[in-house]
Amino acid sequence: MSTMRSVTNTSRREFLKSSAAGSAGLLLAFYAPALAAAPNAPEPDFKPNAYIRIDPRGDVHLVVTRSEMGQGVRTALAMILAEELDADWSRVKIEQGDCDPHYGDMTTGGSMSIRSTWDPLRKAGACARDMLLTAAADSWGVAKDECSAAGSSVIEHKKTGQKITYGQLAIKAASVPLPKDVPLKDPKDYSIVGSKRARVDGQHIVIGEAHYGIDTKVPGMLYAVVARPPVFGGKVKKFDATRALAVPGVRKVFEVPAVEMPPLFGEERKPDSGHQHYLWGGVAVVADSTWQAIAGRRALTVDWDNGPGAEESTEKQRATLTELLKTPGKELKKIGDPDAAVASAAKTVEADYETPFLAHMTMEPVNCTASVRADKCEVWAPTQNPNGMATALASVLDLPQSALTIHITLIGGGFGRRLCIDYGVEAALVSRSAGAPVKVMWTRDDDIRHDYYRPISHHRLRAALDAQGQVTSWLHHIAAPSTDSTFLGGELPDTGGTEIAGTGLPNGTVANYLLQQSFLHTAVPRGYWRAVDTNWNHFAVQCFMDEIAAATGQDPLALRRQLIATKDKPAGGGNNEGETPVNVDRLLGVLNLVAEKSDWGKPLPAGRGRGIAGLYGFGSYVAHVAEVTVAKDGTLRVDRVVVAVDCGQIINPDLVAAQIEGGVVFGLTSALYDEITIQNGQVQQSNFDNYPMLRIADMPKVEVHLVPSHEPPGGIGEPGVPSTAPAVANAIYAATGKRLRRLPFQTQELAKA
Amino acid sequence: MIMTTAAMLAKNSTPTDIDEALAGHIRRCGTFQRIRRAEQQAAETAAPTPLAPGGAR
Repeated sequence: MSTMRSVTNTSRREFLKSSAAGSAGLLLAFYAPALAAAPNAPEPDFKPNAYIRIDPRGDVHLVVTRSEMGQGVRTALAMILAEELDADWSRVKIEQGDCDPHYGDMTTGGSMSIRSTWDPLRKAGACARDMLLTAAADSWGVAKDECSAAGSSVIEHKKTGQKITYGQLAIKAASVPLPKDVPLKDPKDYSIVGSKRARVDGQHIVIGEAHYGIDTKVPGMLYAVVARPPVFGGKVKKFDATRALAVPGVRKVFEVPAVEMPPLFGEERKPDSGHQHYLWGGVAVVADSTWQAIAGRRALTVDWDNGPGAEESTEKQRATLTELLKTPGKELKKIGDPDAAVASAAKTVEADYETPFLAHMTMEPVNCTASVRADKCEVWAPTQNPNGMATALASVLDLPQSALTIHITLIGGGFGRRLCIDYGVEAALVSRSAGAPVKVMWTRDDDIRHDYYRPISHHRLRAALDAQGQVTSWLHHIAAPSTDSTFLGGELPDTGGTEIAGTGLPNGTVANYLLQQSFLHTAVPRGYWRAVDTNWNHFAVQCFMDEIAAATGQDPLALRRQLIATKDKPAGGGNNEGETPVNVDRLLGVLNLVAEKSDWGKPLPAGRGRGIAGLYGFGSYVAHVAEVTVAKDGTLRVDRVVVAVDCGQIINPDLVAAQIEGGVVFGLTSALYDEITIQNGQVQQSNFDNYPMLRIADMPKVEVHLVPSHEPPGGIGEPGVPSTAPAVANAIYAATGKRLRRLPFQTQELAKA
Repeated sequence: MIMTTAAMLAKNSTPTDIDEALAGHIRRCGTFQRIRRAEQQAAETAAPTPLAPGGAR
């Protein structure tokens, strides 16, 4: 790489200022529709909420309004723009936008960034190119249709051989009226989209010049840690700061109130009981350095009111979930007459599955820097949810949104933890009480013990089979705490929400179907964990398909083909209401591709086995085959994971492959090792020694095969995760004949007597 | 990780067990096989280039 790109943080105000006065070149504002916009709602008024600018030097600036957390969104968005603009790729500069209502929804989650910006970014690029063409034709005095973009930010007039650069045209193009209905490129002409490109910020990161949230330094800044209630829902009864204040460097010790926070994504708060979205509360220790703050916290004495949460334990929760599965749950979806089908079945298959609470464990621990004064608040936040943080800050600090500045920093891993806004609100309250800018640091212990956890879940699945071994009925009963209710309260939702994601596959392909839900009430906060509820629902569904295959003497792949392809049009096969129904051909496509690439059906030596799982989710189709070896003592080794991906139009195949490889490791780490357990209402894990990560020596060979496609892009951050655990579970069965139905895998059960 | 790699290459310019050298590192991104490739590449680049006959490179 010859030149290093810089990534600057910029506010919309600064961007506009630098673009004003005519000399800045072509500035184009375009409208990116908000995620939540109803599909048939009338197009709102033109409202600029994202920006590109071409300056007279020829640099193309793109304000990125999503958060970069390693997934490569800055690179991918720049590629989409550069493609339609026919820009010189090396001249595309990234500016990270601050939180601003004019940018619309800035949330980075749900594997949505590419899906929500693909159309508006392409249109913006095409519009800008068209304006540059108009400007070129005008300056040469030739017809516009004789001019063409020659790539690399150059426009040419072939007849006369004249050429001009975008930089030379930038100021003139700025006065060209915004064109309407500019045609987009034919995908066959793509030269940037679909190609491997290095990350725009890669070199910065490698040489240590990139600034993550935790690297934030502002003048006069102090450092703080907070002693939070060890039991969820607990409160400060009283505290003694005498010894803490005696620690050198400690400036102030004060209570942080457990304020109520609004829901995360602008939802209406439900009026019913059970609202749990409160800040942790606790006691803040503010000092001149992080170390002094930690030393001060050690010297602090806090008397906690633990509250009813102290009664909770994993053991009790598991027992409750087991009980909940014994009686029918709330009916969420019903097709046909499942009971009658079971009554007349030639055979039934039944199995229970369970998954634990899990923490996010981002490499950059949770942190936030805030500077709050009477009438304004400035925050430097590694956040995936700047809009939600703005809403919460305005509400808690009682300030108008116009008084807030939220700088979105580079993020060292999000995985959904940073959709929550607790740490931003907490930092702001600490800064306000300290009367100074403060960085609130979270140690690894703080991070793992005050997370919003992937929920614990139990599942009962039952299938009815006719005399020919065809599945005539499918029942799935989920018992789990609700994820959404952490933020919204109550037993939510009825149908179509987060809780049923990943149950989709047999729904619509089996004549009789029943989906039931039972809720576990707990003080343990739940949150969004990469691929969210799809993980555990899909684990149960994909393992159970294998059990049906075994019960009917079928090959697991053959059973999937038959189950998926039996209906011409699976009704409502998507995970959530409103999601596009499953495209059977694309799902079969990835299953067949992964089978071919993984040597499916080819015999393996004793003690080894292959397992398969396939997913439609987040707009993409992804199938995994895992290959494992199980030693006589039960030691499990995952040797190889082959993945086939159809995510529609690929922007950058290298970024897609990286997300899938990372997704496999994320899924494997949790399936093999991890579990958050609760005792006396407290999380028992504290660090990587008791919540391990997969290390390099245990990394299987991961092969990613991409299906070429010009379908609209699907999401890619999450869909690599959910099939990993069931593919491995199914491979373990193939290797040993034993079913492991609980995550993390209890491999001691595999040891041969 | 970069410092570990530099230390590893200083000891042995043709590393045979990258996994062992990097066993102490914890990552969440999961791109271990890319890291292995990068380590190999770093080793090859850092290795002294053999001189061609006549001393010209």
